[in-house]
Amino acid sequence: MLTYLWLIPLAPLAGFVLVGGLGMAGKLREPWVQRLAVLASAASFVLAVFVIADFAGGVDDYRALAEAQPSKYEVSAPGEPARFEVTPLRWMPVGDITLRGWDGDGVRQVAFSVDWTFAIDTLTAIMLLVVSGIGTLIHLYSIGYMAGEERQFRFFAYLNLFMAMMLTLVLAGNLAVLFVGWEGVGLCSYLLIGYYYRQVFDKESGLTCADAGRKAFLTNRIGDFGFLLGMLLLLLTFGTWDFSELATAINGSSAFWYGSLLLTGIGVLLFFGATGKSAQVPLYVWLPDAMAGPTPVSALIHAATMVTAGVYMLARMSALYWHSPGAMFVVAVIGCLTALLAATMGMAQYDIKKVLAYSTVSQLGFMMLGAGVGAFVAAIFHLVTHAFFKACLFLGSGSVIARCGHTNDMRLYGGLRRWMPVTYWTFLVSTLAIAGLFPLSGFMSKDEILARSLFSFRGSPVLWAFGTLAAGMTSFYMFRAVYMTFHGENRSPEHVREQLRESPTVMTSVLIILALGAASIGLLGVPAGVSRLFGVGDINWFEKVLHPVVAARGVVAAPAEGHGGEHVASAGETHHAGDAGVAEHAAETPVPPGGYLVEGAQHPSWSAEAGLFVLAFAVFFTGLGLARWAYAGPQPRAEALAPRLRFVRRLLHRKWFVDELYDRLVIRPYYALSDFFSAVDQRIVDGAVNMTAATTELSGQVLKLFGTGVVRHYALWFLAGAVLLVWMMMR
Amino acid sequence: MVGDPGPYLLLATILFVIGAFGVISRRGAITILMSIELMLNSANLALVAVSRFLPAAGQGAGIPDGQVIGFLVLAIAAAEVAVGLAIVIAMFRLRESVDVDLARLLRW
Repeated sequence: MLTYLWLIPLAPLAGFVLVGGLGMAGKLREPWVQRLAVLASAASFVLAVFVIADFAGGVDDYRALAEAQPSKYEVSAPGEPARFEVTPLRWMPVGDITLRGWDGDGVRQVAFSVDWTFAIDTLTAIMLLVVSGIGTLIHLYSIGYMAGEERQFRFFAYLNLFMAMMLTLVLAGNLAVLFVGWEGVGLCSYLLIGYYYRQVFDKESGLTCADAGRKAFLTNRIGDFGFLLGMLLLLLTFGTWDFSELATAINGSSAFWYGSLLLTGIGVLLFFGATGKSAQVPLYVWLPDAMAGPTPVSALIHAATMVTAGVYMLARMSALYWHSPGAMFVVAVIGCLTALLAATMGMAQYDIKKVLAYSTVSQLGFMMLGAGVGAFVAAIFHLVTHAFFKACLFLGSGSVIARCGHTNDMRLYGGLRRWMPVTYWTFLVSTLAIAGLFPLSGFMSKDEILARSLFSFRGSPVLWAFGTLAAGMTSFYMFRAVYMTFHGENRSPEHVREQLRESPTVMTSVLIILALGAASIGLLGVPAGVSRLFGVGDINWFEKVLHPVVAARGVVAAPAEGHGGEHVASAGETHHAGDAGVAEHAAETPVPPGGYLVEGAQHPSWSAEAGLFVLAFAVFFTGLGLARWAYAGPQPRAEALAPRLRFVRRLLHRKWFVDELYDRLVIRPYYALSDFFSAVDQRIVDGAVNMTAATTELSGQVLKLFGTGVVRHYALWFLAGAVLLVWMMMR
Repeated sequence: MVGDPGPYLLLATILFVIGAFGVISRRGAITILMSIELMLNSANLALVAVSRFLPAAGQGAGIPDGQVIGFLVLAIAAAEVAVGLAIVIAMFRLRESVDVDLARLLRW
């Protein structure tokens, strides 16, 4: 089955072609649009399950095949983490490229070609299940949500194309294929945000949905520019884009590369691409406006899958990041900042989808924080749990929006649990999960990230403190949303209230599945510290499966060379297994003076773990209590409090005036510059063209005077010309 | 026989100038045709004279190429006069005149 890996993204692509083509031709009736789209998505899920089942059995069966056809198949070496690559097609045989030889090997030629390589390892397998599984569920939900819409084939075709691109992204075996998926999902995001392109999305600023799509696309372009630069720099340095070859190259020559400015630069540039795609500071501004798209799109693209592509990319490039502490530090700080900033903004929004959007930005910040402190496994785990609970929250909000007269304003909800019990309970479970109640999934992943940011030698108490603060705010704004939407008196207009009822089964069943997932998926990755508290051994299946793929490997520089020697020294002291590991390796291979690169997390004492555990509860209940105090009850205290906190509310509601700041700092200068270039274009460039035309016309006007129509004049000119020619020849 | 074609060429030049002057200055179509004939024949005279007196490359004088060309020119001149006179007759039918200055429709 593994050899059919490349079929997984082709299934939804076929769906896109069929649904889009037949739909455009008007040959497909609505139920068939939906059936085809869901079928295409489900096909990729089933295929993924079969492939992963085969992969789980080990890749040794394919070793003979790989030896027979080395250009087509590749299998990882026996000791390495399992990995299988298949290259169904050549893409760009570039030929020889010149490496800059920064690594001391000198300028040299390396053969380079870009192929359509698809690869699977445990990281990809997990992403595959999340993307195709949750994607299929959301396709199903869309049947109910989009009921009665005109020209649905557009929506379902784009959704299928998105699936194809996202699966390409996670299956990519090299950076070029990843970039295809990376841009493809960006395109689909743009198309789907602007799906209701005629509607005004933001009444305060007059932004239409098409504008919101454009904003998302352009912001992503900025990030992608950095990403592309990082890719090219990587190519000039290592001469390959293949992930496994890159990891080998970086791990193998790390004595030179560790902590170098070049690796840090590449890491930061790639991360800049991730700040665009994964909505981190400073490029997060598009995600809240991306809520202009239909709600299933927000759930699938802007919460569960696409926006996590940046985190996936960081984990995929973990070898690079392990070797550049500077880049990791940037990732951690940006992630922490994003988590905190977005959480504050989420506290003052009235649009339910914007609350969830800022929550998504904040959670993505957590993931980045995890990646930045070296907890790649925890970051991916948070990605998975987040995909469940945030998809459930978004779909729950979609269920509410569809029933409340298509308004997103929470001030027009209230008391909805009477009419929509299933939506309420699933929303509540997901809220508890995201707010971090033990033992739901959010607790497991978030707590692990926070603990790592405190105890990892790349972490710091400051990062942890801000992260914990953001976690408290998460609890507050989520329960604020719950209280405003589902509790208290109903504030809907009369005609809406009369029609309030539960959503159809096709929607609620999806909600139930996702809520069950959100509640239980955390048990796959119980943090070691937590299981130790309860006297159970390490039952972190997720860590066991995923850790080998993202673990730190390779040799670090000798301290004498001055590349991050300090870090390594502290790692050796704090990591209890570090010294033993070094000694063990020393027997086999000569160890350079600096030793091996270790991930080095301090293992805290039992009481510290217990303290963190209790603190997590305290944070959760503080947020819940504050929200309940301010927003529950018949007369919410928030309204009474409002005048006194007017400045803060305004500051948070207008999102720290970041949009305004960008407007002044970026957009207006850009427009001014564009106006200038427009003037240059019109006056000078166009002027030159117009002058050519004017000269031609003028000379024509003059020359036509010679065309008198009198034959004798022509004869005279002819004679004059002949005389001139003869004179020139005789001269 | 090598000799000096100078006098013949001088005569040819004079004839040519007279012909050219006639073409430019006269308005009657018949006169113009006659002037053209004069120019053609001046060219013939030059060709024949040069062919008779000047040596060709690698060969002695008296190679009859130029004289053959003269015959060709005569044939072409006859054809040209036939076409030219036909045009003049057509024009006369249209305008009742052979003044070429009257035929100036093809202008800007």
